[in-house]
Amino acid sequence: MVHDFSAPPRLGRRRLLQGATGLGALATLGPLGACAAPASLAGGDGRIRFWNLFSGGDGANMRAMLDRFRSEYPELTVEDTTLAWGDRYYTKLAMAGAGGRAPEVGVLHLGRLAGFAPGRLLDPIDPVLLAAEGVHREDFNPRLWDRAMVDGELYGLPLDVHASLCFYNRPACAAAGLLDGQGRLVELTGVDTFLAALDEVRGVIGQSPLGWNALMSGECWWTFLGLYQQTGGTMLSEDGTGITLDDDRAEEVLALMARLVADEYAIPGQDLVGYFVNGGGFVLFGNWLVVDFDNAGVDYGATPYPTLFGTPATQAESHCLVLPHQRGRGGGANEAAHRLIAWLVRNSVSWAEASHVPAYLPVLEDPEYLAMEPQAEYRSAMDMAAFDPPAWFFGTSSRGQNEVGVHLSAAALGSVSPAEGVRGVRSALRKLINTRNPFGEGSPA
Amino acid sequence: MTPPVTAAAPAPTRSRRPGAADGGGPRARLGRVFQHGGWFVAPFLLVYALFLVWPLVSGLWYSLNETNLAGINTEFIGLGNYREAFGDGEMWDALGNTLRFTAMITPLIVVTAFGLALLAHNIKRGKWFWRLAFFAPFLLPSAVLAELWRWLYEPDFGLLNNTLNHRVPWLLEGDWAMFSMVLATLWWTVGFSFLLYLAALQSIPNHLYEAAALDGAGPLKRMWHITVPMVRTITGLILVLQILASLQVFDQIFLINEGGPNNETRPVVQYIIQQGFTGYRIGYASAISYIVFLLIVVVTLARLWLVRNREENIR
Repeated sequence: MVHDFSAPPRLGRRRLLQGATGLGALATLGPLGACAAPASLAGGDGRIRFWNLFSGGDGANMRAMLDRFRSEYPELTVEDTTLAWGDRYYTKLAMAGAGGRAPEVGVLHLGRLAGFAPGRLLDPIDPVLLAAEGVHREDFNPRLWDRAMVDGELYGLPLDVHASLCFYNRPACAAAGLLDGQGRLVELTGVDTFLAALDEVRGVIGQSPLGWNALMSGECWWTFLGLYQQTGGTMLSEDGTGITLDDDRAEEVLALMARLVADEYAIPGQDLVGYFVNGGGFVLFGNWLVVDFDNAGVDYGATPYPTLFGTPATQAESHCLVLPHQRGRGGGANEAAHRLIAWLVRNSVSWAEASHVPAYLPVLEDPEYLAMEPQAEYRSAMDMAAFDPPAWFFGTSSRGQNEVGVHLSAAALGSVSPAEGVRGVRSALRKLINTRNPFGEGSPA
Repeated sequence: MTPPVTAAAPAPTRSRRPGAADGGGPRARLGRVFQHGGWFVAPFLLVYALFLVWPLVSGLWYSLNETNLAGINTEFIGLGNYREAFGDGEMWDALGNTLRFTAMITPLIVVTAFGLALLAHNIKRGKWFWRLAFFAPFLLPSAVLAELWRWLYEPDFGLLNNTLNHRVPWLLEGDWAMFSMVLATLWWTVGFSFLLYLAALQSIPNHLYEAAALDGAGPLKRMWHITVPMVRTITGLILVLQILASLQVFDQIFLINEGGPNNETRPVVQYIIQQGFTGYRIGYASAISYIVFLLIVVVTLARLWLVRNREENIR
């Protein structure tokens, strides 16, 4: 039914029960009553409800970390709920925050913070409570921390950076003479060097040398964002209201993306794990494939994107811990929430096992972290991170990524020329800027 | 695609027992209603009101407002969302894709289902096997179907390209991608219409064929002059069910290809979801829903009108 996409009916439990007449009706409506009841009234003092979206391989690490927290703080109760990733998570988090009945702690992609109405759907984090738990601004990359600041208040505590990487097949690269003395991929600087390396590897493995799925607009967005930032260009002004796209540079990047497909370096539509596990050469994708590749026992390494256009940069996002809006947040439950988020960040070496780069700088120096392969190999992704432009419509799985990404994908697949692709990107950005932020005031963009 | 269950219910006929007096206050009248089964209908009416009437009404209200998902900053804008939708090229593209899909799949389903039903009806051995084989895919959930066909369409090591030994751009070019969606959907849903046809074939009395054979009609003539007219009602039903279901197409396209490439297979339902849930604009999404809803109502009314006309002709 098409009209079902509207929000669920606002009907209180009592009216529902009054209306239900027969036992049969009661049985049918029982679960619905549970839905309509407030998901949360203010929690007990030692109770922390924690919503996250770690439904992938990293979910197991998060659950293990929470178990350790529970054993260290037996007086606190952590109830964690893992919800399906993407829109489905964000719609729930937004509605919970709008009603002021949200869980104590949530997870948010940093790129989505601007669109999530800080101050309305999110409550600020108390720096005093954080400091009491031993976590300070100096412990973070200032770019991450500052991005989570809105109007002088901190709305997200960065947990990690997860980046687009260049995975490489170690034996194939060795045969092509592309490894250095330590068995790591040599620096491939500039488009020509990169394509030459791909050609070498093609010769070794006898199939297309690069796993990169140009069919998916999201993956095109990641690649474009990283490579375009390498040219030194920006897309939007700092306040997110003006287009600053440099057409020539954007076209140059799109031309490379189209060439990767046209010259069959990469076959669109390919399953990347299937490709790499079956002897593929390189893969361009997010760091969480580490979990899949480790499970498959592949001999590989992973670096940030090679620098093809001048300045090192690789697309990245960051999971941050947030306090969704609760009416009357405060008291013991709020202190417990701060304790949990500070603890998670301080102990994020376990989180790094799930392939993410910890945002808490002391962990990056931890010998335990430095011994992790290939995690330590791409820790510099932190310093060259290319984040989504600062606007309400960008961030993981956002409208902006969808609508701009479609034009990038069309250009990469060769359905339109790179120049037309750039025009498409421009018109998509224009349309997004002209759309009112649905959550309105409270967001800086 | 959701199984086609949107069959228009026949309009309830008002029948009153002769002699039942109209008098009495509202309380008395209500009492009579409940005496005659009202209590049995009440649970259904309640669910109906909750899940159909209420969303319909509230959706209409949302569509007249700039409503967002969180329900903050709502502003009444009258027909503003509808005006925006009519000027929104992407909405028209998405609606166009849905219509294109409907136009491609509907005749294919009718012809294929009829052909399969004829086969299964006339085959002498292993009848049960053919019935099961043709109907079984219909039982798969859309997620399973999508996963299956994504691997079949895989460009390099997919079964299809591997067998053909040629790199067919199944999902990579707009027209191919739409065809691929139609093909996967045909395989998935043809079983339902097949079953309807099979039942219709079995209800054709044998003596018609015997008489025609005596008169010297060959197999083709018998099919054209007896079978086809005898299943005409079912064909009409399948047509309408198929159109209604196809106008709501979403799952398999979203799961296989996310509406790509270049949004060339993106159905309007996906656009509604993207506006409402990715973009948080519930008001605008509701307005587009209403435009699609109107389209579906038109199809349903057209069917009712056709059926009524035919009934009158028969009389």
